[in-house]
Amino acid sequence: MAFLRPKGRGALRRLARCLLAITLLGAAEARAAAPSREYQLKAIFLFNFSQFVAWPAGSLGDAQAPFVVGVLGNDPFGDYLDATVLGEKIGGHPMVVRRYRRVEDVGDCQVLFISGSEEGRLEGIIARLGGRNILTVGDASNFSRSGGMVRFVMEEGRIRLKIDVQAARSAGLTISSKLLRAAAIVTREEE
Amino acid sequence: MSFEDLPIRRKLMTIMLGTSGVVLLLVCSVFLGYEFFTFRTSSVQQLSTLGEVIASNSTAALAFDNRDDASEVLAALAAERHIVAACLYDNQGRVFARYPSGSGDAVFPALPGADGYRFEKNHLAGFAPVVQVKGRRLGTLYLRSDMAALFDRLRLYAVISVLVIGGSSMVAYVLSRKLQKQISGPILALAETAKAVSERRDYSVRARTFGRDETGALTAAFNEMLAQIQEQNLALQRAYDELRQTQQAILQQERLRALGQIASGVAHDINNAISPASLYAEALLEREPNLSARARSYLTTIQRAIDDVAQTVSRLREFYRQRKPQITLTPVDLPQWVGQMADLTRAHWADMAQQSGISVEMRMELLPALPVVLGVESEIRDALANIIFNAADAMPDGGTITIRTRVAGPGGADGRSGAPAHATVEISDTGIGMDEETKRRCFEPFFTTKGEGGTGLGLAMVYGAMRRHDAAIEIDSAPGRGTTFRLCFPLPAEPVELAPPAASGPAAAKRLRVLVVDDDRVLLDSIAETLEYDGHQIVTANGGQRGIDEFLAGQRAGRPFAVVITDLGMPEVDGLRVAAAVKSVSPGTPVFLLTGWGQGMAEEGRAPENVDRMLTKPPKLRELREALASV
Repeated sequence: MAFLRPKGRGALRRLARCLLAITLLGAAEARAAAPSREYQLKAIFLFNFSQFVAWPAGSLGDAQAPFVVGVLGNDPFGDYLDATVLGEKIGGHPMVVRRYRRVEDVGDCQVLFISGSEEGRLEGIIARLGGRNILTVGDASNFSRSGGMVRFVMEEGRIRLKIDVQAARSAGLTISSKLLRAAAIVTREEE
Repeated sequence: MSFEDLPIRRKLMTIMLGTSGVVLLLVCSVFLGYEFFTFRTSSVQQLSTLGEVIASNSTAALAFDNRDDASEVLAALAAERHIVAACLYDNQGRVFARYPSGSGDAVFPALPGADGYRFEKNHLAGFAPVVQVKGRRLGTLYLRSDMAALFDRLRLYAVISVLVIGGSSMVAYVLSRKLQKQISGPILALAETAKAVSERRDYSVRARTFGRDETGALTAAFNEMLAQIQEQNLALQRAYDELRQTQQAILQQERLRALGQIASGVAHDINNAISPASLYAEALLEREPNLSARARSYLTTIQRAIDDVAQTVSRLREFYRQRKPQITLTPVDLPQWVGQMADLTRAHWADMAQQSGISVEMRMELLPALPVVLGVESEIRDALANIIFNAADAMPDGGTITIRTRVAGPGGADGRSGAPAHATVEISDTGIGMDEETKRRCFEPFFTTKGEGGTGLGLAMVYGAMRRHDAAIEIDSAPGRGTTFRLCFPLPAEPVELAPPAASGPAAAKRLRVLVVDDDRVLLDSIAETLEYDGHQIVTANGGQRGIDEFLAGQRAGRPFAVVITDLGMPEVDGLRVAAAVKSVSPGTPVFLLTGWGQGMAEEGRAPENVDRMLTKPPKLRELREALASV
């Protein structure tokens, strides 16, 4: 659990965070099974997107407004995602995880993971989210075709990204070229 | 060879080259040092910038676990050939991607170290954080650069430095070769001159002056010094020559003086001894008509022999004698005497030469109207004879003796206005000649080149005779070139005529009372007897004191003496005291001084005071009579 290495605050804070994570993990294990290694990575990736994607100015609201990482549908991360974003801040906004059952529930949100459970309704969901400044992420095979922005693909046991820059741009999001270089760029029509 | 001993040219060159070399070396070293440190700093900066770029490009790869992308980013380092190794650690400190791609783990530090770059042994290496958003570290970049760039740079600068120093030294060498002459040139010229002076002792050389700097001043001072030395040298040489000449003249005079004194003493004794013989022989021949022819012949021979002795003695005396005050110079007919010289000396040069089988000729080149000079015939004759003898002796293989006469000076043939007029007799031979040494010493008494055959007195007598005549002697001679003696007699201010031969008849019979004083009994008697025969009344006194007593007695008795004849050299009371005593009593009484060394007195400047007439020994009856007749 030492992969989070904040600069500065020191060992005490790190220790506290570890203890908390262990407590939470313990609690999560009590409610659901621990996520696979794949979803642990995907959780981290979800967090990392916040560093490589720029949201339009003012879309996050005031300084107290949280940076929301949402999960729509069945949550495959368990408590891991919560542990990952715990205590993190993006541009001063505290990071929080919110889970939605339905697309209508999705409120202020910056990164939205659309679970595989929603595969059948993807087009509707994405169409409904259209125009909002939300980075949509999913791992369904028809995710890109349905208009999703970032799709997780498994290649040779590794998670690869396929990004539809057009879709992100329509949502007012700017994806860092560095991220684009580490990913494959696709369009809705190609898929 | 130490630096002090180097030639000044090389010293100057060494100083100039050394100075410029050291300065250049210093500049290059400082430059190189500065380069070294700035290059290290800039190397760190460059590496750190590169690290930032790579790290920045690696964020997404690390964030999304894309090793291929990470490797690709690192592969871009191939463009930086000094980067020898690089790797990315993930946020757990595991190696995530590496460069070059195939390197093993041993190439990289097992765990990322502190951020920043540092110099290791041969490398510059360090860690840089990989951060996308402030506060979230995604991993660590490790970069290692070799120092080749630095070394390359340093090598380049070293090469440039060497080239610059080499090139500058060459330029400095060429320039200093030219420029050092400005300084070394004058000094070398000066040294060259100094060397020439000390080696050749030639003080007439002068160093060349190049400019008016210190060296110029030195050169000028040196030249000034040389001029002074030269001047002093010259003065010294002149003084030395003068001193030498004076010394030789003094030596010559001293010798002649010493000889004259000896001769004077000897002459006195001989003259005393032969005086009676001379007087008696003359008296006998004159007063005894009944002598047999044989006796008369014997007496004549005796008289001639005495004359010869007297002659010889007088010649001895003449070595050093100022002009005899009582002997007046008489007009001398030089041409006549010179003309006779050939006959007078023929026995020596012609007859002796014939016996030796060689031929000696004599030529005469005489000026017919040579003026009359004042002198003593016998001395001039002897001088000429001596020189002719020497000329003949100088020609062992035969030759020619030439005698010339001429007149020089004002009114003379050659018209030299400055010199006093003089008549010159020149005697030249074609013989062996004289070297400088002989020429210088030939007038010294006892100096001879004829070995046992010469007395060394001939030319010394010539010298004495010429001095007495105020005549100059010149010698032109060189070994193998013959010798010319030139006797220059001063001409009298007023032309003189030859005196008619003196008529010497028997004295007028005048009877006088005469006091004769001498310490020699025999001489006293001989004078008394001969004079008494002439009718004079003679009183003799044996010794000076007796002479004075006798004279005073005569005065007191009223029978004063008409004349006093006294010998000069007597023990206790000499002739001069007798003369003084006589004159103190009766100043009018004539005193005749009879002496064998009267010349010695004259030459020492003692004027014979109280003496009316000097008579030489041996006394001639004729002279005595003449002297008494003059009273």
